[in-house]
Amino acid sequence: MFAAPCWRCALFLFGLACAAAPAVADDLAIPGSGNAEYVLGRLAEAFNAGQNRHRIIIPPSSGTAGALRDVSEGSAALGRVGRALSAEESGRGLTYLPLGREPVVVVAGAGVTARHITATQLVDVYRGRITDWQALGGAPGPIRAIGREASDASRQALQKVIRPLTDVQFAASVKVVNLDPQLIELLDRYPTSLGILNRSALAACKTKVVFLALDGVEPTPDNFASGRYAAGIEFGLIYRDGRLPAAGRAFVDFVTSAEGVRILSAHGVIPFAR
Amino acid sequence: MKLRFDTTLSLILVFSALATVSHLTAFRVSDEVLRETVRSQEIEKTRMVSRIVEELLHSEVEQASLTAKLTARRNSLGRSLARPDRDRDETMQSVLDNALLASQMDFLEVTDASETVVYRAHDPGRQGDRPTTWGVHEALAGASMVASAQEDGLVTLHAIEPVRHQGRVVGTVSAGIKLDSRRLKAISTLVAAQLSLVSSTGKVWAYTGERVAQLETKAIQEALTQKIPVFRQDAQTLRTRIYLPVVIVDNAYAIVAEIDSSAALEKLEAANWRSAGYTVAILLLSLLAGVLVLRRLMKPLRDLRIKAENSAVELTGAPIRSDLDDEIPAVVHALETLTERLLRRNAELDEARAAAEAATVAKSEFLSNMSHEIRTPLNGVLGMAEVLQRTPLTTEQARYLDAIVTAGKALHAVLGDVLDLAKVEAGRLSLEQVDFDLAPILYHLGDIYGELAAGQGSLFHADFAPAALTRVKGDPTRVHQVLSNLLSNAVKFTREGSISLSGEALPSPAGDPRRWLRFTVSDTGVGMAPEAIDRLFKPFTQADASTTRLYGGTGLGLTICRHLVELMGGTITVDSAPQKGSIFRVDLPFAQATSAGASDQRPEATPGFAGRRFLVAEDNLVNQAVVKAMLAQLGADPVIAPDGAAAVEYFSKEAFDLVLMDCQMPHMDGYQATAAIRAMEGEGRRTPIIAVTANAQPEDRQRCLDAGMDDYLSKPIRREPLVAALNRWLPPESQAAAPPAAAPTPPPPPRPIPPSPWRRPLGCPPHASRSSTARP
Repeated sequence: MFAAPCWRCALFLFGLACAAAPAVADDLAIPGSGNAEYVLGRLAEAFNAGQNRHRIIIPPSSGTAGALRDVSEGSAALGRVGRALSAEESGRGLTYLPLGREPVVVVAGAGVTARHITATQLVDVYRGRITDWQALGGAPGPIRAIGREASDASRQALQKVIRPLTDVQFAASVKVVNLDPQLIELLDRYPTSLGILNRSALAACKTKVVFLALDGVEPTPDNFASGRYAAGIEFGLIYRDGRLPAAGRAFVDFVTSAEGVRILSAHGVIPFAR
Repeated sequence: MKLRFDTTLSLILVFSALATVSHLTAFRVSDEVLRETVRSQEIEKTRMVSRIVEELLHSEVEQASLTAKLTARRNSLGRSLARPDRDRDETMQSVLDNALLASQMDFLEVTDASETVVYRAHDPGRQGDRPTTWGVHEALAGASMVASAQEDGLVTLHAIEPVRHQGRVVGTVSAGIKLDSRRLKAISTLVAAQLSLVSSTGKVWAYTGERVAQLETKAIQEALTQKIPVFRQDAQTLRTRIYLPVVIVDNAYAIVAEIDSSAALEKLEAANWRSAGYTVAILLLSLLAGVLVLRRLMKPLRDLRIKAENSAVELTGAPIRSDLDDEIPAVVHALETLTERLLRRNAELDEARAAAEAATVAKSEFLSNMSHEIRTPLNGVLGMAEVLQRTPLTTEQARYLDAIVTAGKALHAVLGDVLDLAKVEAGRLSLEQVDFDLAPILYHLGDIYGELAAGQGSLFHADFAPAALTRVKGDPTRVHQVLSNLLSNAVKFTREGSISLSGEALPSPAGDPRRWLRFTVSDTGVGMAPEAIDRLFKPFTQADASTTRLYGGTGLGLTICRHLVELMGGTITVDSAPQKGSIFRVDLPFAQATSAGASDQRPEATPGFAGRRFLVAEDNLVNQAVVKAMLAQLGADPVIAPDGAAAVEYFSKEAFDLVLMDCQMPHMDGYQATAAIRAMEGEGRRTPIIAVTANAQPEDRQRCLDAGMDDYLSKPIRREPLVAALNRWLPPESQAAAPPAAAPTPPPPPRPIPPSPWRRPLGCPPHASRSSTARP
C-alpha cells in the first residue's frame, strides 16, 4: 500500500537530484609556455576546486611557440605565452591578455653556496671562461651551465639588460635545452648547475635551488616592481580575436579576482592591474 | 574565320566551366584530403622513427648505466682506488678490459676521488688528465649520473657511477657510447631512414648516408624552437626530410630523418591522374548534356522566332531579315522588328481610321445636303403630280402622270434607303420608343401589298394572331419599314404565286419581360440558292446579277432590314430554295405600352378647310405652288411667306388657323421663325405649326418639335399625310374651335384603318386574290 507514495517520492528525489546536479564540466586545456606553467597550474587547481562548471587543464610546456601554433591553428582555444605578442603575431588575429609579470632569475643548483653574480661573470660562465663556483665566491665545484635557445622568453628578457648575452657563443660544456621542465630537471639533477628562468616557474624544482643576486640586486618581486631589478618577463593568455570561450572567460575572471591575485602574488608574480 | 559566341555556345561553355570549376574544387579538396592523409601517414612514420630513436638511445644509456653499475660494484676496483698499490693498474686493466669487452661500450674509464682518470680501457696509454664530461663531480658526491658530451667531434653518452670502498666514495666508473655514424647507421637500419644528428647551430655530429646531406638551418631552428617535427618534401627525389627535435640525455639536438616517400607520392600522382581523367570525362559529359538540354530549352525560343517572322510576313508583307545566328538576339530582333512594324502599321491605321471617319462625316453631311436638295425638287414633282391627278385628265394623261408618280416614289424610296444605310454605317441610326398599335400598321401593309400582289397576279394572305395586333412600345416607323421592305421584295419576285404575311407571339426568354413577336413574310417566288442567301444581307448585293437586270433595285433593302432588326434587338432569318420561294422571319421584342390606344378608328374626314386661314412659309417657288395647289384643292387659300422673317411679320399682322413652316429658308429659318411666333403668342394662345421640310431624318423631326412646332411632314409632301395632319390639328367638327393642346405627335402612320376587301374572311370576294385571317 506504500507503493504509490514511494514511487512519487523516488521521482521527486530523482528530479531534485537532476536539478541540483552540476552541468558536465567544460574542460579547457591551456597549452604553451613553461614560464607560466607552474603558477597557472596553481591557479587552475584553485579555480577547479572553486566551481564545477569548468575545468582548466594546464598541460606540460610546449613553449610560447606551441601556444601560438595551437591557438592559430584552432587546436586550442586558449594558450599561455611567456611574452607579449609581436606585431606580426597580433596581425594573425590573436588577442593577448596579460596576467602578470615577474623577475627572471639567475638560478643555481641546491649545492651552490655563492649568492651573487655579475652580468659579466654570467656571460663568462656561458662562454666557458668561468667554470668553477669558487671564482664566484662559492664553494669549489664545477659550474654546470645550462643555456636556452635564442627564442626563449627568459633568455630574451635577460638579454635586454645584459646585451653581451645576445651574441654569446656557448662553450661546449654548456648544455642547451629548449623546454623549461628540462631546465628544471637539470637544475635538480646537478647541484652545481646554473640557469636562467622566471621566478615562479622555479617553484616546480624539487631541490632547493638558489636565486643569485644579479649585480648586487636580489631578484625579489619588490625589487622588480620598483625597477631596481630590471630583468623580467610578462606572461599571459592568448586567444583568437573575439573567440574567448566561456570557460576561458571564467578562468580569466578568476585570475583577476582577489583570490587569483593572491595566488599570483604568493608566487612572486605582480598581477596586471585591470 | 571569326568565332561566334552565340547564346547556346556561351551557355554550354558557362555550364562546362561551372562543372569544371566544381570538379576542380572537389579535386582540390580531395587532393588536400589525400595529401593530408599521406602527410598523416608520414607524420605517424616520423613519430615512429622518433620513438624508436629515443628508445634505442635510451636502451644504449641503460646499457651504459648497467655496465657502469656492474663495474663499479667490483670490490677489487674500489679497493685498488682506496689503497693504490703496485697491482692497481693490473687490477683495473683486468676489470675494465673485461667489462669493455663484455659490454661493447665505446668508453670505460675510472677516476679517483680527485677526478683524475686513472685508467681508460678504450685508451690504456692515456691517463692522468681530468674528464671534461658532466657527472663525475656529482658521482663523487654519491649520485648516479647520466650525461652527454661533445668531444672529439662526436656526441657521447656517459653513465657515471660512484665507486665505493667500505661505504666511502673513492672514485667513479664512467661507461659511455659514441653517437657516431656507425651507431646511427645501426639505428637507421631499424627505422628504414637515413639519419643525421645535428646541433641547433646546424653542426652535423653524425650521419648515415654516403655524404653529409644539405640541411636547412632554418628548419632545424624551427624544429627546436617550435618543439615540433618540421617536414620538407622533395618532389624530385620523392623523399621527405623530417627535422625532429630531441633531447639526448641533457642536451637539445635535432635528428634529421630522411625517408622514402616515393610510394606515397606515387599514390598521390596516380590519384591526380585519375582525377584529371575524371575531370576531362565530366567536362565532355557536361558539354554533351549542355548541348542536349539547351537544344530543348531553346526550342520555344526558336519557335517564337519563326512565329514572329511568319507573323511579320503575314501582317506587314515583308520578311524580317537577320543575319544573327545567336538565338536570343535573333528572337529579340524579330520581336522588336515585328513590334516596330505593328506600331507603325497601327499608326497608319489610326490615320486611315481618322481619315475614314472624316470622310464618313463629310459623306453624312453630303448625303444630308443631297437629301435636302433632292427632296426639294422631288417635292415639287410629286406634289404637283398629285395635285394634277386630282384635275380632269385624259386617259393617256392619267397614265403618263401615274408613271411620273411611280418614278418619283421609287426615287423617294431609293433616297430613303441610301440615307438609312449611310446612317447605319455611321452608327447614327437611332430608334424611337413610343407606344403604338401594331394593328393599323399590319392592316395598312396588307392593304398596300395586297393590291400590289393582285397587280402581279398573285394571291395575298394575311394571318395575325391577336397578340400581334396589340399595343406595344417601340419604333412603328422602323417596324413598318422592315415589313414593307420584305413584302415589297415578295411582291417583286413573285409572279402569279402567293404571298403571305403573318404575325404571332413567341415565348419570351426566361427573365425577359418584353413581348416577343414573330412576323413572317413568305412567297412562292423565284427563291434563292444557298450561296445567294449568304450574301443576301450584305449592302449593294442581290441574289445574283440577273436579279438586278430582271427586277431592278439597289440591293440595300435587306441590309437595312437586318440592321434595323438587330438595332431593335431582334433577329431576321430566311429560308429559301430556287423556284420554291422564300420565307423571311422577323423576331422582335417589344416593351409593354404604358398608354392606352385609341378605342375607335375614326374615318378619315372629308377634306374641307374652306374659310381656314393658312400661313405657308416656303422659299422655293415650285413648292410654294405645290402647297398652294394642294390647299386649294382642300378649299383653302393660304398666305405664302417667302422666308421666316416674312412669316413672322404676316403672323404678327393677322390671325391664322395653322402654319406650314419650311425649315431651311433664307434670312430667317423655320426654327427661328417658330420661336419668334411662339414668343409673340404668349400664354393662352397656340397656333398649330406643322413643319414641312426636306430634312427627313428622325432627329430632324425632333428638332422641329424642340423648336416649338407641333407636327412634322417630310418632303416630298403628299396629299394623304398632309390631310391627315390637317385633320389632326383642325378637326372638321370643330373647325372653328381651338386647336388641340400641344402634345407629343402620334407617330406615322397613325391613320385610321380603312376597310379593306382582303380583310374579309376567305372565300368572300370581291377580290379573289386577297385573303386575311384574324385569329381569335
